[in-house]
Order: sequence, then C-alpha cells, then structure tokens
Amino acid sequence: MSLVPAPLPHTHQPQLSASQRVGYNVEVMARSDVQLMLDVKAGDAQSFELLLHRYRTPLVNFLFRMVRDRAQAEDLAQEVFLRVYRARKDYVPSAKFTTWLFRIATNLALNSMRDRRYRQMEVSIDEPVSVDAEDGSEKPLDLADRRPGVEQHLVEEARRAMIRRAIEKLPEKQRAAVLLHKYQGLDYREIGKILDCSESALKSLLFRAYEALRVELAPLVASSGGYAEKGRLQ
Amino acid sequence: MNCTRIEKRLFPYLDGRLREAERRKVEAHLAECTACRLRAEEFRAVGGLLEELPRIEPSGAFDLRVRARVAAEPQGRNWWVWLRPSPRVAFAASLLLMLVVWTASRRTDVDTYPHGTPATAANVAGQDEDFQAIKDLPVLEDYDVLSNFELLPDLPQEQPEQNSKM
Repeated sequence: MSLVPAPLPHTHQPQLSASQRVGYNVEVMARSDVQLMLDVKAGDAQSFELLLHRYRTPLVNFLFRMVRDRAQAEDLAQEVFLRVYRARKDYVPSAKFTTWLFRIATNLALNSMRDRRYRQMEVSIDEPVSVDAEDGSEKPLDLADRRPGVEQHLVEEARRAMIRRAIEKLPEKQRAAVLLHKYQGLDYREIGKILDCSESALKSLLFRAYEALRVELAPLVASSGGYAEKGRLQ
Repeated sequence: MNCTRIEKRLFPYLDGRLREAERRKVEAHLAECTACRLRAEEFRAVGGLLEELPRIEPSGAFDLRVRARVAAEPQGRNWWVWLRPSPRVAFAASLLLMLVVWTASRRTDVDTYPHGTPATAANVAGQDEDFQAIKDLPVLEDYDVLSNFELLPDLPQEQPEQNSKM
C-alpha cells in the first residue's frame, strides 16, 4: 500500500482548516501527534498528511527565522518531513513528537547555517536592506516612494529589520533557544532535549540571549514602554 | 534570594511558570533590587518586540514538493530486491565468473608440472641445455681424480723392455 495519497489541488484559501483541505474527519483530527505517527508507522497515509498540515507552518517559520532565507527554509522543512517519513519504521514514542520534530529541524538548520557561513564569507552583511513582509525576501530600501502611509510602512519595516538582525547576531544555540521558547511555545524540558542541554543550562542560555537582545534593541526597548506592562513573556 | 539566583528564575517568572512560593520570593527581590527589576522589565519588552515579526505561510507548492519527495522514497526493502536483474549485479557476477575461470585454469597448469613451474617451451629448452652441460661430467671427474690422486707416484712403475738394459 502506498503511503502517498493522490495529489490534491492547491487552494489559496488560508481560512480552510487542514481537515477541510485534506478531507479528514474530526476523529482523525483529534488524534495526538504520537498516535498519528504510530499510524504512519502502520502505513496510514492520511496520518502523515495531517502531521504535514499541522507542522508545515511552524516548521517553515522556525527555519526561516533560523536561516533567514525563505527558499532554504522550505527546502529544510521538506527535508524534515522526509526524515520523519524515513524514520517511521523505527519510530518509538519515547518523547513528545514536537521534541523529535524540532530536534531534526534544529540540527538541519545549524548544519545549513554552518555550511552557508563558509560559502558567503565574501558577502557584505552591512548593506542596507528591508524585508518584505509577504515573501520574506530582503530588498533595498526605496526611499523615493512618497505615497501616503509609505513612510510609516518604512519605519515599521526598519524596526522589524532591526529585530531580525538582533536575532541573527545571536550565537546559533541561543538563537534556536529564543525561537523555540518564544514562537513554538515549547516548555523548558522539551527545548533542553532539542538543544541537548539541561533545563538549568537552557535557562542560562535564554538569560544570556535576552541580555544580548536588550542591548541590541536598546533604542526600541526604551521607546516601546512595554516593560511597564506586567505579564508573561509569551 | 540574590541577583545570581534570579538568573535561572527570571524566565519561569516572566512566563508564569513558577510556583507560588517561588514567585513571591522573586517578586520580593525585584521589589528591592532596581537592577534586576529593570532587567525583568526590559526582558518583557524584548519579548514584546519579538512578537512584532510576522509569520509567513509556506508557498503553495510546499505540500506538493513534500509529497513528491516522499513518493520518490523506496516503499520497502526486502531481500528479493537484491535478486532483481540490474547492470551492477550482472557486471559483478561477470567479474566473479572470470576470476573463477582464470583461477581454475591456473591451478590446472600447476598440477601438470611437478616442481611448481609452468611447463612452457622455454623451460623445456633450458632443461636440454642443462643436460648437455652435465652429460660429459664423468670425463671431467676422471681427469681430476687422475691428476690429483696422491697415491699415483707410489704405484709400481712399469718395467722397461729388455732392450733398454742393453
């Protein structure tokens, strides 16, 4: 039995849920990640499809923030799913599925970043750029545009670019820790397993990362006034 | 609680993951330590800034590419796969067969010649020359014996004929 279902026509309707797009029923949707993975192990193609729909966006976002290149992030995310598929026969639910998934993703991202560092030694990183919010690609700032709202848009983009650069400047492991903690909502133990460090070491890692970020983002931190507000980081 | 111990409790505190007793201790320290309080407030502000980054959606072809790569994967491995005809297997089998044939023929040659030397025409000719060299050896041997034999002078000399006395 083939695990690959018939290709589905792609839809550009993001409001559709995964179950609507791939035709799953509620019972299938309610299955835990581990149960889905065990079903994939047993040869169920629909379960793999559902895992793909559950984690494609979080994975692509995590990898995009790690490697700062959309095409590369998508390639790496595809590789993550492929490795999950290849490992289906040997899968043992010894840890949370997300821990396993993001451990694969983190290792791939770190390897990719190290490879790219050698290839792009000669490329200047000081060139002024802006990041297009829709496609994530970086473009030179166009200061000649005088349309209403453009100035505000440019200010926001410059602000985002500053935040991105601050994240990019973090050492790889600190960057991964911040992204997994901030955007994936994983608990300390899970992140520790992904990054192969203790829970205590992870808290120190996050502390140092945020120390570096508050220095890099000092102008924005000072103007944000957000620190008067009480509440969780997330 | 001091500033050093705060380091590992600040994140759980800001995330709301501390137990009640621990949370009260942290808050007590923050109330009396300006530096730690400022750091906590700035960490919270940094967290807010990180939320400003927009999420991106995977491209439309993402799922199709994943499916294509998964479809390209072998669906299962079993030992029968190795028995399927393939150029590599055929080449390897041919090489193995040639090696076996060559080895067998070489062993046959060795067996037919007793001293471990292949019975070639050159070897046979060389053997004839050797025979020619030693076939006169008894003659040489007699000469040496005769010329160096120490008892020869002691042998009785042949008497001359009667006419020599005269």
